[in-house]
Amino acid sequence: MSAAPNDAVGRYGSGRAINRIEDPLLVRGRGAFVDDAAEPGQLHLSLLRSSHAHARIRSIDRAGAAAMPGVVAVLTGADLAAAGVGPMHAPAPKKDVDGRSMGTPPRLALAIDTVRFAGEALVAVVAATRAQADDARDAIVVDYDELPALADLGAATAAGATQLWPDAEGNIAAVMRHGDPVATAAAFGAATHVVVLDLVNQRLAPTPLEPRGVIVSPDPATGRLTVRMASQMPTAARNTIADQLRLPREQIRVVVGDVGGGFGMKTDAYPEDVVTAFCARLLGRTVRWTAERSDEFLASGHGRDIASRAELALDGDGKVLALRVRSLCNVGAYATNAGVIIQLLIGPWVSTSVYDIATIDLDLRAVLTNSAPTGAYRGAGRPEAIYTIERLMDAAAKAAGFDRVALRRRNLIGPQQMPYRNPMNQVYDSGHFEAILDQGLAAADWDGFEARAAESAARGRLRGRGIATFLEWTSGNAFEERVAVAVEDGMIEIFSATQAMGQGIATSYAQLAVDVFQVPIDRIRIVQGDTDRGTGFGSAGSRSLFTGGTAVQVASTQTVARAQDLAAAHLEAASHDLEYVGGDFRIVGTDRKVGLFELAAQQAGRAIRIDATTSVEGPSWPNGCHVCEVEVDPETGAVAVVAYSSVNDVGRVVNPTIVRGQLAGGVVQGLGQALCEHLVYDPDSAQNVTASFLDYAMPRVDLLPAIRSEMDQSIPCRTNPLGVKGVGELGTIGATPAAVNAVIDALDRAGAGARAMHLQMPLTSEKVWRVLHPDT
Amino acid sequence: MAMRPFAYHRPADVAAALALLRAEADARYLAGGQSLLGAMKLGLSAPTGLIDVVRLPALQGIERSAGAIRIGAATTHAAVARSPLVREAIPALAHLADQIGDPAVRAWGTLGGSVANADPAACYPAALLGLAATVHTDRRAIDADAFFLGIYQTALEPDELITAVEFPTGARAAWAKFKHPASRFALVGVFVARAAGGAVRVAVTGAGPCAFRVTALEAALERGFAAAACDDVPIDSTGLTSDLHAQAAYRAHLISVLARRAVTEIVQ
Repeated sequence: MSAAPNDAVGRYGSGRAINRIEDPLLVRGRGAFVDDAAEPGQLHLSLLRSSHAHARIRSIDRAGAAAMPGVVAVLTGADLAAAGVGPMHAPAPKKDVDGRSMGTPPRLALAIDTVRFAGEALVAVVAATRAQADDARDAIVVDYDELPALADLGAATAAGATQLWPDAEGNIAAVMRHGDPVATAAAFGAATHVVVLDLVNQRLAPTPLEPRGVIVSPDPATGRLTVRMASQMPTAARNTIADQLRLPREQIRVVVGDVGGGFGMKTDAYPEDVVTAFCARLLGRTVRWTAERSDEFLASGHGRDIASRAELALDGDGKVLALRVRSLCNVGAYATNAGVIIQLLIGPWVSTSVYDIATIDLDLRAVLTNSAPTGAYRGAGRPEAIYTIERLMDAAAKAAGFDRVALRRRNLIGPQQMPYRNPMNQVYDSGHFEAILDQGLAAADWDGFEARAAESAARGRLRGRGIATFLEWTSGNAFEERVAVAVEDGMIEIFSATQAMGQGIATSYAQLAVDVFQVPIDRIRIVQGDTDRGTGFGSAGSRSLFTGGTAVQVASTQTVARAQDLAAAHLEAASHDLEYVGGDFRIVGTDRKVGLFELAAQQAGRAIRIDATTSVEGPSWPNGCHVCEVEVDPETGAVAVVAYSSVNDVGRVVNPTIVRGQLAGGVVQGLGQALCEHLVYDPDSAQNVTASFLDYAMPRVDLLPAIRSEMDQSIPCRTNPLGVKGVGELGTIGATPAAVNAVIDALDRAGAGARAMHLQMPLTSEKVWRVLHPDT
Repeated sequence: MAMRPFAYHRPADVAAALALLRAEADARYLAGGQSLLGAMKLGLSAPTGLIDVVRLPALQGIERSAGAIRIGAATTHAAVARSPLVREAIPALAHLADQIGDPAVRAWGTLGGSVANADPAACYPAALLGLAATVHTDRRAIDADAFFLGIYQTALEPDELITAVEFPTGARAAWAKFKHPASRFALVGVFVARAAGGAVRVAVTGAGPCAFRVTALEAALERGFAAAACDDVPIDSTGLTSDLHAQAAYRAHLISVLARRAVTEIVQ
């Protein structure tokens, strides 16, 4: 059903809370996810994963497996190496403070000689069915020579710890230092108040609903590989697979359908993707692999896992003089560029957050351990940094006797300071942090707290409130996007190399296109996920709308401009005498007109096509004030989140429903880190002991109150013409410190504040109970 | 891991079910499958045959008689939770069933399946012990006190099939569950029942290898049935479960707290 064209912008344009155009298919179970696809004659891959966290591989006996029913191939890392497959990523060229390049063992798609974490793949089996492949995998006999395993940061940095890699002295893969240690030391020397906190951001598993999957089909005539996979970054995946197989990148086509969540975990190609592609090419057959949930817990990219000593120096009025942080960042068995940069560079960009802090001293070390490599997970460095500064703010207020809101207000960067350059040399284009703070306090009824606390107390519960005022950086530092527009067959098709993964980006793009084309939204078709049609950075770092959306708007505008010239010719009028209204070009003041689609049908090729590459000027800096209220059951230590509200500056909003969904979903994941999620390696064996949902505690709906998310649209981003700021990660970043600060506040009000300061996430009921009952 | 192939059987009666189990070396009864199918997907269990017993006529129905309520082994948790008979006769049992797992688990999981599986953190075993229930099988009746023997261990013989569980009525009872943060089984659950004659039973699940009674609490509550009585009985953490999610001392503490809450609910 279409509205009259002249109503289109009003009904479907940006700013409208329309339903997502993706949903009619998805909610009917008609999504096209990788595992829904099938190819005739397809083969199935199964991977043997290391049962040890650290071991020398003495021998692999695959004779029994190779002889089993349905088995087509059994391959080891040596087979891949013999075919020229090298390390997945060359050691990063990035030099650390001492001028060293990153010290890390090379990551191989299948381990050779040594396995370095439990779950690392070392043998691939291809068979006619998955069950046959699994059976054969189970028949492989590996003789391991066990080596000492370092499960965590403590073990890896202990004196005398086993050296995991020769070029990583002390198991330190990379070091970065930021700021001015001398000036910082002087500021701490002159400070009236100093607070010190030891903070742990525990390891998390990203756990999208849809696990990874890949299907690779070779074209017998050309040798080209079509890779159907779940990916946020199809181009990066294509490049990695091509490089691994030593093929020209054009010989790989990556196609992505629906993606059931990424959260940073589906960026780039994984060893499983490379092995699947290798086998398909070797065998000349379609080969597929779908991750089980246990594969994801064992071997997909994990998030966080950093331990920090954080210090804040303040003068007598509460003005922050300096921030000093020393962090050890567990990057797992193989330091990847992303894993290192997220903790050592990206997180630090927001380390001073919304506060006017000029003096910092950060010393950040990436540490190798016998665990799965870490990588991007929603927020990627910023949650860790914001958790640090927001915990410090509360600790400083407590220690020095300041009101925590007043202390934050005292240190906020003012709107008159924009654009503001922080001590990491990052420039905030816009922001009115005090206005957001005030709205956040009002939305939470901050001043009405005592009455609610009394009501909770009457029910035997300890109520607490926590606040986080913060900003974050979005863009992935990739500012360019190419968009292809085709007006053809009564439709406007728009291709973008950014990638949908459930966030509703197609709807947002379509709304931006409606703004320009003034046609009903069902005339717009958004196409993504095909490297043959276009390449680019993909979707990560909350960049899609402000880079990709800008490109959609620019390309759409260029399309209308091009069409206007064609319309002028068609109407035998001057282009500047035409107006474009509701899908028609009309000579102003007459009834002579031609429709956009009619015009397109008259062109050679029966279409109007525009290919436009657009850049935005820099990152965006969304920010917010998040307030969480909790009730603690003093008898059990159980924490219930009883209220959550936030006010967010995400610039201009294209679809309020989608933005609220992003904020709420982010908040849930942030609460997950604060209260329940923890990926645990056994300290002795370095085995992953939380490799299923029986032990990895996800946040459930009964943990959550109604989440109220508001937006202030009065502060547009200045680095893109849409004025939008990224929103994908904002909720996650604010929720974790807001919730933890709330629990600590509840415990502080019960007289246990000093002990509560030392709580580490997740704040399980037993930990909270022990703070309240220290003698047990 | 992909589930291994298996034969699926749907026998018409109990005799046929028993015959199928005896005929196949590695067959299992399937009674809803909310634990077994998950274990098969994880590769922890790989039976060659599944004998679906949920439609067996002898395992159906909820009947009330003088002094007892008999629930067929194939009755789902959801059916127990919404049964007017159970809600009227033993509301705590209906409440317990309503707190198991999630809606999907309650729609498929059965009383007999849960009891036979004897998961250390399953909810039903606490109710069986707390209410002094009787487990009826194809060949005999077993007192709940003699049924749960250890972790996933019961008094059942390998081919023995539970047909029903008989719960005495007349006691006043309450169920207090502290949910495991990940699995939503009981991190600790306590079922308290006070019979008309004053006898008290306190049964705990989630804290040891299998459900067990706390006789010291029972004795204290028989002396005076009040929440405060629980405070005077220290729970020894020796032998209680310590794992990633709770240390034994915390579980011992939760037993006290949950017992007190259950008693309070009964008294009110």
